[in-house]
Amino acid sequence: MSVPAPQGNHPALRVALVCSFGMSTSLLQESLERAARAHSLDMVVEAVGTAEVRQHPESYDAILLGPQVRYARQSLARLGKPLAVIDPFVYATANGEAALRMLLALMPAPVSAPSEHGNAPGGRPSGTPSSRGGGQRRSPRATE
Amino acid sequence: MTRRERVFRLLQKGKTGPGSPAWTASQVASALGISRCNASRELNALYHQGRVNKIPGKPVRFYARSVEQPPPPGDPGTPAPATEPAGPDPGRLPPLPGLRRPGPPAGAALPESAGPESVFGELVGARGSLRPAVRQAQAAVLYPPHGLATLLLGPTGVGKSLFAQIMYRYAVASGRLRPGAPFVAFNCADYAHNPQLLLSQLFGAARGSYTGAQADRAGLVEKADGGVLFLDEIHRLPSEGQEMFFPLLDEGHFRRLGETGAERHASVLLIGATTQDPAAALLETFRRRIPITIHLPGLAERPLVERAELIQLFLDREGRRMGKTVTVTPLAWQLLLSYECQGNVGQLRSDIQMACADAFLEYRSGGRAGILVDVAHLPERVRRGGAPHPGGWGSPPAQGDGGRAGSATPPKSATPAGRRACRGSRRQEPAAALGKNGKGLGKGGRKPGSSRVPPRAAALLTLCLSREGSAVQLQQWVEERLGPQLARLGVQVIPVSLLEEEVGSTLAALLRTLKVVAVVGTVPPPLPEVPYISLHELVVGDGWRRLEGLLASPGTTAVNPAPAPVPGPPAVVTRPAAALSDIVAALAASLRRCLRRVDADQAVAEGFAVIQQWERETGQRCDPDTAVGVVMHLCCAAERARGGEPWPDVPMDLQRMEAEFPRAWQATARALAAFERRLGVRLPELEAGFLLQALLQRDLSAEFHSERSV
Repeated sequence: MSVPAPQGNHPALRVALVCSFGMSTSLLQESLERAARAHSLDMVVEAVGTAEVRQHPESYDAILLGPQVRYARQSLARLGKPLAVIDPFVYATANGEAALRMLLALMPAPVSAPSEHGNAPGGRPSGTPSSRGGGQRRSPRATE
Repeated sequence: MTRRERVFRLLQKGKTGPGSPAWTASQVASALGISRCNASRELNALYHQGRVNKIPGKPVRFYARSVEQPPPPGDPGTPAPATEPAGPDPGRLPPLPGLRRPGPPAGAALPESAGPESVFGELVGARGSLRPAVRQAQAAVLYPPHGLATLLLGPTGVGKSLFAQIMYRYAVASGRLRPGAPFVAFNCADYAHNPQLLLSQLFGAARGSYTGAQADRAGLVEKADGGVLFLDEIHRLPSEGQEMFFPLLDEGHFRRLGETGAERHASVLLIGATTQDPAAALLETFRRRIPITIHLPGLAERPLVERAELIQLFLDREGRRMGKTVTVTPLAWQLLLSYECQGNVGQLRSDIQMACADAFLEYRSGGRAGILVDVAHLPERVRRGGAPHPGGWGSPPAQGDGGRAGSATPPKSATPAGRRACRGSRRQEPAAALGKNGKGLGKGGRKPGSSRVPPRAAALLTLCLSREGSAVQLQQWVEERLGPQLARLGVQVIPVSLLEEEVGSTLAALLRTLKVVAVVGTVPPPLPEVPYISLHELVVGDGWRRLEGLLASPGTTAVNPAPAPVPGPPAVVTRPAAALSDIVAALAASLRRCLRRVDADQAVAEGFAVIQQWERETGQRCDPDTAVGVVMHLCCAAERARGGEPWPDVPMDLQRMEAEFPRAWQATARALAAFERRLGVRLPELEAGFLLQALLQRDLSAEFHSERSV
């Protein structure tokens, strides 16, 4: 599932779109990928269940939860990835554009100090809980 | 009533007052006793629903869309027009300078019946730049016994004819003229090549007074008896014609051409209009008999906020005509706000009509869902921008400039409206600089000292090529992240959405007026000298760090850092929480599109029935967000089960769930069984496990797992 990165040597952003058994996220998956393409953003979206994310957290850079798996938010937050529950209206309308904005707002806040991964070839945000603090803080208000 | 409806009602209520007040989020918040954040959220939601309009600026202001404009389909019903007669408290909410509305809102009491003052209230700027003109006009009309002859001065397209009509309506409304009194308009240029014919049109002719005059004929002066005679382009009236008006203006007497008998009598309020200097174009003896001279300012002399209102007014009018909501991209808005509009309001209106017609064509050809006016739709002259705004951005209504044309006093910014206007336009400076597009820079510079635009204001551009509004989203994102820093440095974030062929020239022009710190976007701009950061780099690379570095490096900011703009509210990242009924409707609509084997509406209804049954049996509540997700899941699951598709194999300790939560488990199983029965499907038992966790809001799989690993 790798897509050639169109810009520089930044790898694609891998997003887990989580619902129960990957049942209802496929609609949003398509529209989210379409929205990313429209923004020239190299992004791979996988519709998965909670179990898969838990088993292979290293495969994802960010996690979006369907509103019905809201209950798994806390346990998945321990994986230290940027994570949010999708607004139910966005989910119901499979609005990829809105979901993308939400996702972008989750991504790590700017760091003032030179970041350790900045110069690493193909450097990927490290994804430790501390560096993801911003991501957790930004959980969408609407779903609180 | 939901909070959103309360906000909408509040805005609607304002529509029954004179003018059309626009509200800021703070005003709405204090009026309704809700937080500003919530007010802002609801206002934006209403804007997206097409029920309110926005007046850009800081702060953004909102007003209810005219009720004759239907809400977009699928909108859960527009409330009936507010019946409360009270307008907003004038002490707390200064209404905008009057916004001209083409007609009274349907179902509302006619505001015009409130009094003659409201007649002028329809004019954009009646309480702003047109205030002195309005006052003079009122004085001219009311002066006993029949009003005073008036000369309207101003460049082409400022609305002299409209102004004359409004003077007439005011005369009727104030009782100075009887209802149904004549309003006779005549353009002196029409017969300028034939003075004889022109004069006979005006004054009538006796039989045989000139070749072809075969019968006695009344002129327009007689037809206007007891009313208003409006002479447009009065400078085309020949000298003898001007002289013929003397007895009419002095004594109310006149004669038809070729008539020698008794003088005829007519009581006529004469209103003349000209674009020329009256001293050069009219006899001094004629001018002396026209005591009131009213100067109507050109668009360039008027505050930017009035231009914004005019643009919105014309867009709304086109929208009503097409029966659609018209939106404008930020760049197109900036261009409309800033291009040199030689033909003034009249040209602004026709340019907007042309743009809307073009956008409508694209809409008709299936290009998009609503009517969106983008740069590409604007007429060439709008896109080119034009020379710098003569009055300077943010200048108060030109003080003293009015003197050249006549006796009208230019508006004083001491009036509340004037102060607001200044404030409104000053805030828009940096953005306006964008609209200038720099293309007019070759054509003569600004008047020294007339412009308050800081030289080369610092800006960060967010760029996209599509018309999908990525640029605006990027702008919001950047502002949200770097807001305080940007404000401190006085750097504006400006969204630029362009067609590919426009990018090079437009950006090059922008660089002449703006100091562009960086371009953030989805495509690299053809500007090697400007740092470019891709969206991708921001998301997965070190784009933010690079951007911060660019902002921090000396010399990137403006020479004189602009006063820090007041940072707006943080952009609402997610859609404001929608009403559950909206969500259910949306849910059914999307499912109808993708479900083949089950009926979407039935499945949605049965899905919610599952939750209700569970709530009844357990006495616990399920939060609405989860409910929406669960229903969507159940519908998709039913579709999949109907098709006989396999379920993924997910480890789940169902027995333990049942053992630990027997009551909730039973309720879940029963509700699910009912769902299966009604839709005629069989779902795997795993579904009960999922449903229990969702309804209990507990990640039991994780809990059980962590216990085991401990």
